[in-house]
Amino acid sequence: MDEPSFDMEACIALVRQGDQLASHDLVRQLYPLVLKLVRAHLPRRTSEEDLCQMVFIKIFANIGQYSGNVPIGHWVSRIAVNTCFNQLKAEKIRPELRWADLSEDEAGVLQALNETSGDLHPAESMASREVVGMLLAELNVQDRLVINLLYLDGCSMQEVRQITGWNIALVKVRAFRARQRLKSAFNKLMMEGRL
Amino acid sequence: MKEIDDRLRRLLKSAATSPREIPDEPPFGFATRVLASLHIDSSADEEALFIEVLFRRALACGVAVMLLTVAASYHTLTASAGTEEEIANSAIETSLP
Repeated sequence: MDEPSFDMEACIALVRQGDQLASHDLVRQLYPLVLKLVRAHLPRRTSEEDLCQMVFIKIFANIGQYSGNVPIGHWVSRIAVNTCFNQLKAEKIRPELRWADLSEDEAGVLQALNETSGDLHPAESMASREVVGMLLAELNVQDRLVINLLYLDGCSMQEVRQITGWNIALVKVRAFRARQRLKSAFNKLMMEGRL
Repeated sequence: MKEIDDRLRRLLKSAATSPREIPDEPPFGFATRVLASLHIDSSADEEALFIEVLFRRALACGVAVMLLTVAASYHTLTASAGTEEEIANSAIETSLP
């Protein structure tokens, strides 16, 4: 038997009145979205669950300000991204990635990129993600955010604009600069691998 | 440079396809912890607000007392010290038993 469709508006109204049961339902409904965003933008030294908890606290603390003009998913995404963004800002140290830091699988991915011209094998996607994560750790917060949203989450420019609050021109400029910086870090790593 | 661009594109493409399992449900007790933290936060906020109000009232009372004191001693503060003769008389009167 199918679960009856969830009435988000009614749930939000009940949460505003302080209904505990509705609050639990809201957490259950929004948890997958929040976790997805937190995982995509997780700072290195922060636990996933702690960050999710921080995001939900902000959601509940500001639920009174939610106008309902935009889908709740967009509103929550913005809170989640901003929370991660602030956590990332606190991480001032950006270690430079060296070839020696790579695991066997990660080095294998880079070698495969050098030796082949086609797409990587699906089995290498996890290691690819790890390498990209390490390369992104070298970039600043805005660069990391825009690369994550555009290239890893597959968001459109319009979606990035809604999530970040930046205008389209700014999204484009930041995306271009971020890609250049990522390319530079990647090139450095690849050159080191050839030595 | 074009080679690097292509390699980076393939790396990002592969990374984007990596399976990331997202659980449908939050971990056990997660919602309770969130709501408890929220409650603690709002209690702390209320406490801070109470202290702030108390501080403001204390400050207002202090300022009021200071103004009353200044008003009460206004005459004394603004009165002229008097002539040289009055001062001499006053000094003689106070020094005599």
